[in-house]
Amino acid sequence: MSTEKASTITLTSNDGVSIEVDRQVAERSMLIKNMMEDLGEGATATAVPIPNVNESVLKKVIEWCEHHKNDPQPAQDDDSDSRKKTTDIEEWDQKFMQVDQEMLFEIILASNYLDIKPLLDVGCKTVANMIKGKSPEEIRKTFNITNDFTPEEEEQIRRENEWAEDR
Amino acid sequence: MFALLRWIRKLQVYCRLLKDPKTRGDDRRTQAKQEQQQAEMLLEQQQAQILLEQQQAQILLEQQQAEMLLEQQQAQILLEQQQAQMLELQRTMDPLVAAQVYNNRYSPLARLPEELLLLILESLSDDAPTLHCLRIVSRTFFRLIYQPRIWRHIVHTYQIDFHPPWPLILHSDMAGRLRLLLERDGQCDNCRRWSEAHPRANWMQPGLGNKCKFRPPEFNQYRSIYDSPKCLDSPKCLDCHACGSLHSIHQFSSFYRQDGRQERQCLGHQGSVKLCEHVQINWASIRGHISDWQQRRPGDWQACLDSFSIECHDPSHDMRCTAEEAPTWPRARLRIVSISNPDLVVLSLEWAPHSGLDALTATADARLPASDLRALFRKFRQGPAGFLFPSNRPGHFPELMCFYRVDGSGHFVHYETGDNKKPPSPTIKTPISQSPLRFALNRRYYSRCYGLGQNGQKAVIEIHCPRGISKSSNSTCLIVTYQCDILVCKTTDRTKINPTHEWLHAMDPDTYPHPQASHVRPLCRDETCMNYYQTRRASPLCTNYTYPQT
Repeated sequence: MSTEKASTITLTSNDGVSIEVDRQVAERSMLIKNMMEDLGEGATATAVPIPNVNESVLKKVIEWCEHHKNDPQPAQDDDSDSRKKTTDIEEWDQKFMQVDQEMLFEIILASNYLDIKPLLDVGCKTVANMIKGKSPEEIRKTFNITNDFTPEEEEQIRRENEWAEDR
Repeated sequence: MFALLRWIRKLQVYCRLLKDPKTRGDDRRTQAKQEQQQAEMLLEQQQAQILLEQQQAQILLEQQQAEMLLEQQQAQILLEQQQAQMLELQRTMDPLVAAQVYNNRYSPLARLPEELLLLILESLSDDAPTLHCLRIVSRTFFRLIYQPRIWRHIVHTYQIDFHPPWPLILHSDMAGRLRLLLERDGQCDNCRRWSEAHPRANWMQPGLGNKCKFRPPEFNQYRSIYDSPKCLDSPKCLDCHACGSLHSIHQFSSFYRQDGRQERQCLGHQGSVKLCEHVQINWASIRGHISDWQQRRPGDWQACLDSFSIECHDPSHDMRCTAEEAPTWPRARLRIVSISNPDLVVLSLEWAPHSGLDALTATADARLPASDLRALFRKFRQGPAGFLFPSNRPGHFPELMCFYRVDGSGHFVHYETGDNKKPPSPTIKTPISQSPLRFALNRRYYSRCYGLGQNGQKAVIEIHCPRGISKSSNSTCLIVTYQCDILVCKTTDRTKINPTHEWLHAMDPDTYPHPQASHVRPLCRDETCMNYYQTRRASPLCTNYTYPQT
C-alpha cells in the first residue's frame, strides 16, 4: 500500500490559499491521516480544505511537521504522567514557539483541530511556562483577564487567603 | 715602536670610550622618544576606543530608551483599548457580567475550550502555588482547577487528603511559596521592604503563620509556658496596674515597657472598640459595669447584661423608613453568645438601617437588581456598617451573600446582561410586596464565625412592613442588620475580668499605640495594601488558626 501512496497532497487554508506538502509531513495530523486512509488514494488528487486554520498558521504548523516528520507517532492513548506534568520543551520547539500570543493560541487551536498531539503538547507546555511562577495579577495582565468573581466566590477567596495578610 | 703603537691604541680606546656614552645617550633619547610617541599613540587609540564605546553605549541606551518608550506607549494604548472595551460592555451590562463577557471575548487564554485549558493545567500539575494563583485569577479557573486529575501528582507526592469541592489544605512549603506570590500582588513598597528584611525562615515549620502582635514570637512553640503561672516570674512579663495582673511585655506600648512606670496600663486598656465614627467603648466601662453588678446582685447575669446599653444618637445614623418607626441608632449591648455556648459573654454591636419604603423593586423573575443593592449597601457602608461588617475590597459587598441560596442553587440578584448592540431592554419592575421575594427574603443572613465567641460578624436581611402604613398600600422596606460580637468574659469568671485576646484584636488600631517588636510589621497606612491596618478580620487567626495546615 505504501508504495502506491502519492508523495504530496494539497491543503487549502480557510482564506483560500493552497499549500502543497509531502504526504508524510501532512500525516503528522491524525485528522488528515485518518481521512486519507478512509477516502483512499482518489482523495489525494483534490485539495484538502482546512476550514478552521488560516494561511499563516497553517504554514507554521507545516513547518513544525516538516521538522518532526521522522519522529515516531505517539501512541493513541498516551496518557502517562511523565508526558503531562513536566514543562520541559526541546530547544528547537522552544524557538519555534517564540511567536506572539495570538499566533501561539492559534497554533494550539489548529493542532487540536488537526489532531497533532505532540504539537498540542508543546503549545500547552509553552503556555504553562508563561503562567509558572506568576502571581494572580501578573497572570491577569499577561493574558488580558479581568477579575469576574461573584460575591459568593469573592468571599470564599477572601476567607482562604486572609492568612497571608499581616497587620 | 711597540710602546708608540700601544699608546696609539690606548688613545684610540680612550677616544672610543669618550664617544660611546654620547652615542649611547643619543640612542637612549631616541628610543625614549619613540616609546613616548608609541605610548601617546596607544593612549590616543585607547581614548578613541573609549570614545567610540561610549558613543556606542549612548546609542544603545538611546535605542533602549526609545524601545522602552515605545513599549510603554504600546502598553498604554493597549490599556486604553481594554478600558474602552470594558466601558462599552458596562454600558449595557452589570460590571460583573461585563467582566465575564470581556474574558470570554478578549482574553486569548480564557476563551480556549475547556478541554485545552485542562491540558494546560495538567502541565502545571506539579506546581501547587501556581495552580492556587490561577484559581484566584478568574471564575473559569476557579471552577476548573479542582479537577482531581490535575492534583493527582501533588496529592500522591505530599500524601494530602483532598476532597473537592473543599479547598486543598496546603503543605507548609507550598504555602510559603504561595504567600510570596500573593504578597507580590498585594503589598505596598514599604511592606515589601519590611518582608524582604524579615524573611519568614520559619515557613518550613508546620503551623506557623503570622506572629500575633500582642504575643511573644515564640508563643506558639511555648504556649504551655505562657499559659502557666511560671510566666509570672519571667522578666518578659510586666505588672498592669489597670488590670491588677501580669501580662507579657508585648501587651504594653513602648512607653509603659520602661522600668519604674507608675500606673502602667496594658494596650487592652489603652485602646477601645469603635461602634461608629463617633462612639468608642473602652474596657473600663465594660469591666466597671460587670463588677458593679457582680457586687450588687452576684450571679444575676441576665440583669447585668440587660442593663448595659450604649447608643450613638448622631442624626446620620437614623435611617428609619417612616417617622412612626423607632430611630435606628447603632447600639452596643452585652449578651450571652448562644444557646450552645451559654457561659460566654460577648459585647454585641448592632446597626439595623432601613432601605426606605419601596426603595427596591423586583424584576419579573423575582430578583433584586445588583446595581440597586450595591448603591444601598454603599450608602450603609459610609456609616457604622463599615465598622461592624467590613468589606475587604472596594466595590465588594459581602452583604450580597445573603441573597445567595445556602445550597448554592442560585441567587436572588439580577445582574443586567445587556447586548451591547441593542439598548437595554425595559424590565418590568414589581414592588417587593407583590413579588414572591416577599416570602423568599424573610430573614436571610450571611455570617462570618458569628456566635462562636470569636470576633464574628453577621449581616441579616429582612422584609419589613412599616407601622402606620395601611396593608392595602403594600409598601415594604428592607432592613439590613449588621452585627459583630467580641468575647468579653465567661459567666464562670469570679475575679476581675481582664481584656480578652479577642478584645485586643477588635480594638480600633487608631486608639492605641502600635506594638513594636522585631516580629511585628509596622502599621501600614496604604489603603491599597493587603496589610492595610484598618482592614478587619472576621476572627483573629492567632486564636483560630485553621488555614493553611500541614
